[in-house]
Amino acid sequence: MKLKKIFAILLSVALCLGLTGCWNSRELNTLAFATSLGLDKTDKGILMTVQVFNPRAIASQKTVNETYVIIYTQEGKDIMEMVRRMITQSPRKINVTHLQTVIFGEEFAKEGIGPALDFFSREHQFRTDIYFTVAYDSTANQILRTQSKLDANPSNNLFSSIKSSDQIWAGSKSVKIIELINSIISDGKEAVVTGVEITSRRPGRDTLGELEKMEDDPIRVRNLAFFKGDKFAGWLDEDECKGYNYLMGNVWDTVGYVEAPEIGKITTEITNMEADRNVELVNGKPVIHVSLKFRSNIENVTGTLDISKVENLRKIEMLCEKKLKKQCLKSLAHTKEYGSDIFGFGELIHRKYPSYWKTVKENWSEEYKQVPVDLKIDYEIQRTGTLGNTFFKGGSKK
Amino acid sequence: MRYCGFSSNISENLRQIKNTIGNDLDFVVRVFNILSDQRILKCAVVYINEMADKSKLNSLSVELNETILSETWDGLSVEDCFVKLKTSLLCQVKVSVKADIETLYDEVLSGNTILLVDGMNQFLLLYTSGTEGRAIGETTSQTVIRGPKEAFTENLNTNISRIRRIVKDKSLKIEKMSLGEKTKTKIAILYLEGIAKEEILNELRARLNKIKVDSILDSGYIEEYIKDDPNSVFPEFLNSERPDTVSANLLEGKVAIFVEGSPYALTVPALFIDFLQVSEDYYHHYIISSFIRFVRYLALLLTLVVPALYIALTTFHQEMIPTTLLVSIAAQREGVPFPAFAEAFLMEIIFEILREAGIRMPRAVGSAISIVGALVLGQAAVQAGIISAFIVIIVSITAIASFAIPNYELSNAIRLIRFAFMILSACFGLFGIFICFVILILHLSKLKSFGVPYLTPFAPAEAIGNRDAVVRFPMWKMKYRPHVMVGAESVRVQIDPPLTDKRKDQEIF
Repeated sequence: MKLKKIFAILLSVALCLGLTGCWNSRELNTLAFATSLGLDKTDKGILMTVQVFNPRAIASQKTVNETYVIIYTQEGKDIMEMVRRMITQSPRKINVTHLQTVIFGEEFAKEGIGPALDFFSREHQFRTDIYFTVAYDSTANQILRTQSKLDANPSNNLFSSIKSSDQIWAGSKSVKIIELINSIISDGKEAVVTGVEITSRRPGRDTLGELEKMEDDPIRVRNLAFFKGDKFAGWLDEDECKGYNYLMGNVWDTVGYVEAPEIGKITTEITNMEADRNVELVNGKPVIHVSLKFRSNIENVTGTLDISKVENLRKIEMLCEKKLKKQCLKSLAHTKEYGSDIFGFGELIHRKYPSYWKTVKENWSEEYKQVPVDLKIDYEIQRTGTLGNTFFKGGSKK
Repeated sequence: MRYCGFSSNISENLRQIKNTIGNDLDFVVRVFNILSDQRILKCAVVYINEMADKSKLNSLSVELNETILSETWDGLSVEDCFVKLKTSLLCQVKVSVKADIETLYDEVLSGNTILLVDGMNQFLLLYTSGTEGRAIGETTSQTVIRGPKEAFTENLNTNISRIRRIVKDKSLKIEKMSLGEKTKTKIAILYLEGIAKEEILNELRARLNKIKVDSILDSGYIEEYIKDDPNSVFPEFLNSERPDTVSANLLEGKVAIFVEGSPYALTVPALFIDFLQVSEDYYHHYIISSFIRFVRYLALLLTLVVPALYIALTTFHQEMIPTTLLVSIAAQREGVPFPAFAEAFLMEIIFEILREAGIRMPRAVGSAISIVGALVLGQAAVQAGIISAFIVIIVSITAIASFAIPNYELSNAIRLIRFAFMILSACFGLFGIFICFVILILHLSKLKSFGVPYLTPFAPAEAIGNRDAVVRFPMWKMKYRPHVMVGAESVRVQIDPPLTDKRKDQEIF
């Protein structure tokens, strides 16, 4: 009886072993943790660059004569194969569970990022909060070869930059894998991916001696790559990127200024926005209505404008509306050129007029170039900060 | 030993006693005569030196002298003399008349004095026992900040009197018995009649009566003999050296067992939650006590799983550690020659050795172990690169957390189980930890202490018991005693909070 019991316990434990999925015991000092991965197109196929952090150097309390990250590169045709083949170069197995950013080279992205995304979403080791970026005006390899200053780990640096710029600056957009795949596969919506660039390229930037001399962090988040299908189509600059974020209602918090001779220069912080996007069929043709509502505070006043007067505030609001409208229309015009509907207007039509959508679905990127967008902006200044009028109204003392 | 009855011949009796007990250093026989007109009545006093209370003996001998010299013994029969002696000594000590020689041996050996009178086949038993024990001291292993500081001693009667002083109620019943063929250790069962469940009492009596053993040296013996699940490492008797804790348990309907020679009283039934409660919980504000209890449960969990979690996360689930933390752990693991499990296991074992050594070593070398333990094992080993600094933190957390468990027995059990967690987590990662948890909870649910499920009031869930489990409710909310122990609704608090809202709003000044 007792033997039976013990057997039953052992059996149930043994049966559980089949349920664990994939697991394996690996000591920390037999693993190399990749935090960034770059993919570039070369003549031979793909150049993969993996940035592995050097814990000894990063966690060290003293300055060590070691680089904070180690770069491994492989050239080949298949991503997974290259990851594995890296063991020939690295003494430790590359572990990608802490991967934070993936950088596509522009040329690589032009070929289509679909197959790579399949790998990143299928392989179980990857996180889902990886940020995807496209290298602007350089290659992924070059970007990964730079060192960073404030955060010893360059991937961490980049990761935090992307994450926080998305929150306090409308001029960029962070994209994670689920959102990216969703916008690629959905009809009537195209993907965007933030760009990163190297700000200054001095020779020997990646050597440690140079790193100590330099003062600036060499990588910055800039511009927004937009796609058509899974293929890179073009770049939106900072203003267009802001326009894109306004039209999408993506903005948490950002700042902007307006300048005009009669008011001087006024800087405002947008603290809240709402975007109401709608579509309507007029004479059998779709018209997109976007109405944007902004709430903002005045942050800085240059000039003599009396902001305690309501009509002057109205004047500022008018100017802001004009500027925002310009940014929005600019980004619309730019993407229309490429027929890349990054705003998801096609999706709006699909939801509201599914039967009409069926007729334009196949040809949407052409249709998108023609679709009229009716933009309404309501800009409201709520507070003027801790001051009323500026102290420095009279200009310089006579 | 050949059984010899008690004869009426005093010389015969004395010889027999001397032969049986042996004429040792401490065995005293004093023979004296009572003179009367008709004859010389030979009497003898038998006791064991140092076992009998000196002051009682002194007053007895004075009384005896006075009686012999001042009373008139003329014309009295032997029986009358016997009765006269008895009545005159009664004012000094408790006296009883016995006739059984086996009783005589038992009583003499427990420190009582025997008075033999020639010609009587009975003897006088004078209760003079009283050992020289330790004075009542402060608690040593179950200390509190606020609350009574006195602890039990090795003396059974003193211990019982401590309870009597707290619970001055006629329903406090005491049953005495003695266990151990050779030690004849006195054991007392204390309970409150009408509150303690009759079933539990009967079960306890039955189990105690079944113990047939030559010696009972401490309450631990009793615990091991009559535990519900003798093979479980979890304690099923709450041991306490605090009279207030035992009294509180008695008032909840539990039964206390006192053992002569043990400063720890046992109370049954003991539930899992009892081992995480301290009498002080009731002396502080209820919100503060609840928080402290929560901290204790947290400590229990920490000491159980922290090393296992470390092993599982660093060797199986690196992806679960935040990247920045991973960097610092990985940096410390660089160059460490042992795998994480070996490292953790080694350090935990070393800590256990350190702890054991700390208890056993002579007081005089106490400072040596702290120097060796802290400096050599902690700092030097990290600097030498044999272990990582992180594991020292892990072991320290575990050790500190294990000291936060108020009951030493439970703390021991958790410390042991921790190793099972570590081994399984080294084999299966987090999955192993969960297997361990499942087995542990199954085991705990199976346990019973005198028929009461160990995990009450969690499983089976019990509303009234839960008012005093993880959270301590205010006193006036704990109206009833726990159901499982006392059966029917048994009111503990009669009133709602004495200060009503209306009263609070009234202005006094």
